[in-house]
Amino acid sequence: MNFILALIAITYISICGFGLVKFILKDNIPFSIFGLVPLCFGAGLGALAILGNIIMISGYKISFITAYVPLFVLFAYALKNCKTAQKVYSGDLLGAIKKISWMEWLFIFIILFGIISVFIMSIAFPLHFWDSRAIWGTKAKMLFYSGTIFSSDFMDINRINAHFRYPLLFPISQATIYFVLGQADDWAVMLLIGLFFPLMIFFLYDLARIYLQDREKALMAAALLAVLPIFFRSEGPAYSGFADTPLAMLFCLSFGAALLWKKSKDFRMLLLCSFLSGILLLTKNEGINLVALNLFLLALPDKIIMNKRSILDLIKIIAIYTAIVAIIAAPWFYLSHAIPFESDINDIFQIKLSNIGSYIPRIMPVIMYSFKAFLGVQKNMLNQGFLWGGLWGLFIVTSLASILMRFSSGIHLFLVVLLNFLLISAGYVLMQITPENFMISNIFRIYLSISPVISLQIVSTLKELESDKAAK
Amino acid sequence: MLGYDYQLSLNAGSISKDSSILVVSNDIVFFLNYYFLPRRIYKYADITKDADLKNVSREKLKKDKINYILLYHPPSVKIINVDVNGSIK
Repeated sequence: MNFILALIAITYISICGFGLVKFILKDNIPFSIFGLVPLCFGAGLGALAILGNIIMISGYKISFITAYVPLFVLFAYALKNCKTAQKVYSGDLLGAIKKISWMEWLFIFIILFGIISVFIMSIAFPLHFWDSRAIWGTKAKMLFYSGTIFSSDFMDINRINAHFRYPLLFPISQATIYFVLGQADDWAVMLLIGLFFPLMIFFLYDLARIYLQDREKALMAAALLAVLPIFFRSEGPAYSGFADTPLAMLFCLSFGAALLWKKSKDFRMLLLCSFLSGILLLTKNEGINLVALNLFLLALPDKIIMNKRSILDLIKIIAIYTAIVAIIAAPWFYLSHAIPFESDINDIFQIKLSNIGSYIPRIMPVIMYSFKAFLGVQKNMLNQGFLWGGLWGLFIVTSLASILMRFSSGIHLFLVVLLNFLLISAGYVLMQITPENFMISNIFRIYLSISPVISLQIVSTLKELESDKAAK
Repeated sequence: MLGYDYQLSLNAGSISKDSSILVVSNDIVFFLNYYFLPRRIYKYADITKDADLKNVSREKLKKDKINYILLYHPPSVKIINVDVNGSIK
């Protein structure tokens, strides 16, 4: 019964998300059902997190009434516009089934194997991984019982706590299910946790299909990710209840919107990208890297043209994006600094200019540790090197091919991944974390978010190689 | 995988939901919160061994309204009552 109630809660939030997506994109929704459902799910969770932060900052408590009633505006708007959803459903699903080649069937089988495995492993057990209980699940229960961070649960420094300044999107979404159930059921909430990975794979497929106009390559991109060992065997796999897979999924949505904006130059897609990027900051502190990556992609010109108009356009894009992200994240930054605990290890506000001298000697060790981690040659990492399942190897080959053949799309995606590497390395240098200890256990999870971009870069380059060959 | 934690959650069920519990442990006990909520879990930095309990003042126990003390040294877990005056029974 609790699973059914949890499903109803998730459906309600997703329909609210559809209302929001419809409000932003109007009739220009390029996605099929495979892209629209994850987008609505992510947008709904984002709306919920923003609402939750506003409720707390206003001095009220998050509860069934305060969380669900305001969202009804979006729900009603979604119902009023449900014809769009029906059109997407009937139009593209039938088209997708037609003329599937044997290679596509193979990819579909791989995708189904991956997503069904993760989903079953999610719902087979209650929440039981360390961080999922000690951090995310605990905060979800605290919000369920006390409804706000302005309570003894978050504010009493003698109480045991773990990273209380971590953002609250994931705990709020779990607590919202508890509100419907009327109790904290750590099994029913696994339904929510089990959806992030399958929805990310679906969205990646649809994004690649629209971006590359090639269904087979889109299925290949999704299949590459669907059975990537890191989502199954790492310290925080996709079914664990860690916030890394939700962050990866939400980044995939925002990155997809950025990529489609580059292709269509539709202003509404820029607004959607900015909204989705803003909610990355409400998911994990590491989201700040991903916000920077989206901005980088948006600002990256297709051709380098230096004139007044192009510079003004660039400033406009940066200003709109930054303003929306700042508006979404501002309530949370205020709330997080009301919590009287010391800054967390990955809190950007702990960076001090006065410490600049101590950062420099850390640069080389951090870069070396990153490389060793990826190559799997670090002590205790031989097994973890396998977790990327050759994805990095393929990525290096396709990146070199992109650069040599001057494929703009492949190069852009390569630059995004490279920037991610540099930002994460800079984070390790600046955050005063001992690289030896921290990187061994966490580096794979931190790079997990970028995996959809790596997959997309690989298939995008293959597509460009094919087109290049056909043109000759 | 769930065995020991499951036992812990059953123990938590026997304690009143509005109680405060002081944990004595030299372990990282963040996840205890997950099982004991909405009960309030306290951990004083200087109290890691059972013998340290004699250093805790009654006033501090009364201030935080501690009702129970959880001696958490897996596999040994023991709960002691604290009376309204802050005396450990």
